[in-house]
Amino acid sequence: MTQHLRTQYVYGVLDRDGLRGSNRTRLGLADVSNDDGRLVWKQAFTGHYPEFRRFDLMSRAVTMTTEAAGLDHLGDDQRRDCAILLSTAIGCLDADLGFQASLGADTQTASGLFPHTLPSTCLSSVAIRHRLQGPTIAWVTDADQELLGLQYAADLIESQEASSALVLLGNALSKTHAATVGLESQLCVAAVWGNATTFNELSDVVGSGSLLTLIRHLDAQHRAESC
Amino acid sequence: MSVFIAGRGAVSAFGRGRAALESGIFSGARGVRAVDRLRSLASVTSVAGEYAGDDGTDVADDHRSLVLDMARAAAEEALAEATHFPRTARSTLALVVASTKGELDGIDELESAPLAASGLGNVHRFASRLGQALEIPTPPVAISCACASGLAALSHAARMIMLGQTDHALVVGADALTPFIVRGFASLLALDPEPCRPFDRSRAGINLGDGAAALVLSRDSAMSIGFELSGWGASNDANHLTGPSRDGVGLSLAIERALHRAALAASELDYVHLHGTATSYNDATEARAISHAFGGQRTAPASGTKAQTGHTLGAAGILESVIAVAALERGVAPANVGLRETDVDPNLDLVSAPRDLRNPRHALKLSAGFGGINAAIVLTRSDRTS
Repeated sequence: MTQHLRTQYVYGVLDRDGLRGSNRTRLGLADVSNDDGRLVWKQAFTGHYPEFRRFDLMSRAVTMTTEAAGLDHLGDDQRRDCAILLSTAIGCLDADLGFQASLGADTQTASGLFPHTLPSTCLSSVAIRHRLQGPTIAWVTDADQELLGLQYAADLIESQEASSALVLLGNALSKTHAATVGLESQLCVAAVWGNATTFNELSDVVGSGSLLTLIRHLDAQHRAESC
Repeated sequence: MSVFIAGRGAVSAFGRGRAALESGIFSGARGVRAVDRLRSLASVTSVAGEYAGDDGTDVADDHRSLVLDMARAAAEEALAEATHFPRTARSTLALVVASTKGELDGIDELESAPLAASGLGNVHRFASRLGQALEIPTPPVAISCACASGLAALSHAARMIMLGQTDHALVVGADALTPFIVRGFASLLALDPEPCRPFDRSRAGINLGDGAAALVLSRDSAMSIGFELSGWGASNDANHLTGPSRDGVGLSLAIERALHRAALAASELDYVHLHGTATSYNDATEARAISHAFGGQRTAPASGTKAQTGHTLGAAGILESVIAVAALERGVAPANVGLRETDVDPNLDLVSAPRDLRNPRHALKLSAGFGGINAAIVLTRSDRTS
């Protein structure tokens, strides 16, 4: 297991204010989605990404957020040992509703959507793109348990199962399905990558706040540095 | 730091209880049979490992009650075996729950169902209801990692114990079949409508099954039933959304990590309980991965049991760990039911009929799931038995 002594982190966030992150991405939500609210890769990043069109909402959101964080600096050893963790309160409700709707008698079953009815599937889109081969785990949590992802990341590093971790918080629900279930449309995905030292330092900075609080702290700090 | 197994429970196509499961498995019976509860889906699959209850036992006819009943029964059986763990001590128990979909009620009746009270496929809601039913007050940990959920949950609980976050953990896996799940796998053309044949040359896909299983883990050796969870490891293929990496490197990496934690060489393993879904690529990849982990040498005796129970999804890793412990306890590797002639890596020592194991001590259990997720654990007979 490679030990990383250098403190570093990256972060990304995609919410109703748009997409931004450590790699200096600063885009409004309208800049990364088309007219019907579907997240679109080419409007956010340069370079063709043909697989992206096959992704569901959660996969698109976590992939874009991680891209905005930027993992290009990771070496091969780090990628091999990097854990990928997701905590989510609404799980994959968006894909569930889409797949269930496709089971109607007069529609064709959306086979491409079925794998996305599992919360962990979206993580493979990140793993494949960034060649991350560490432990990959999805937790479904209460809405106020967002910090758990960071705790679990620290646990995995402390137990030497990973040398670093990409920690994702993801709750995504499209406008169409939000209306169906009578909830607000949600798009709130955040990612932070770091090692144990980083997580310890960050927890000192933000106290006992949620992962989203941490991300917002990093975001504000980064914005200030960019000015 | 050892993590001891203190109790076991199971509900499967063979009925309620671990005894029914082990009796069915080691006799070579198939719990997979013509669909009954799911007969409206007979055009999709004619067989499944449905839990049909026991003589005189009514089985809940709605999905929500069924999956909760199964999970609760498995958990209570495991807690009952943990005789040193009194009911009054449940407040100190960590609850870790594994499932792919939990309770799916509400998904198909959004306009009529009370949303806040519906399961909606949210595993945390299911885990919370299970915790209430078991009178375990601690907030549950709800893990949903596709078909690797069970081993991910066992690993999580073992990590909590190792890091001193809890002394005891109840790990429960459960999934019950619904049209949502069955038609999902059918849409991927992954189902064999006939009884499946893992690792056989003619294998044509999976059979699904209802299932729930539970293990009580403890740091206290006095609670041990004579077995430990001695190693665990996980990896991602980083290769494909749903299919396994053809070279088996990802799964092999998970095996290496589990063996490293257990401080074992592959050659010290006495038995391997396979994931063995009976899809063409899974079985070939799994055989390649195990062969690689054994350095290209003949492997330990290996068998899978999904031809008998069906693939129980989020419960599979725990249910099959119960079977692997039974194999160590009995000194017998169960047969690969449905296997006649294989075409996978010849180094994999597939057990075609129940085989005696000589004083077996270490077993490897494997799982893999959508998202390229791989998981492995090592189960070890303890030096001392309480």
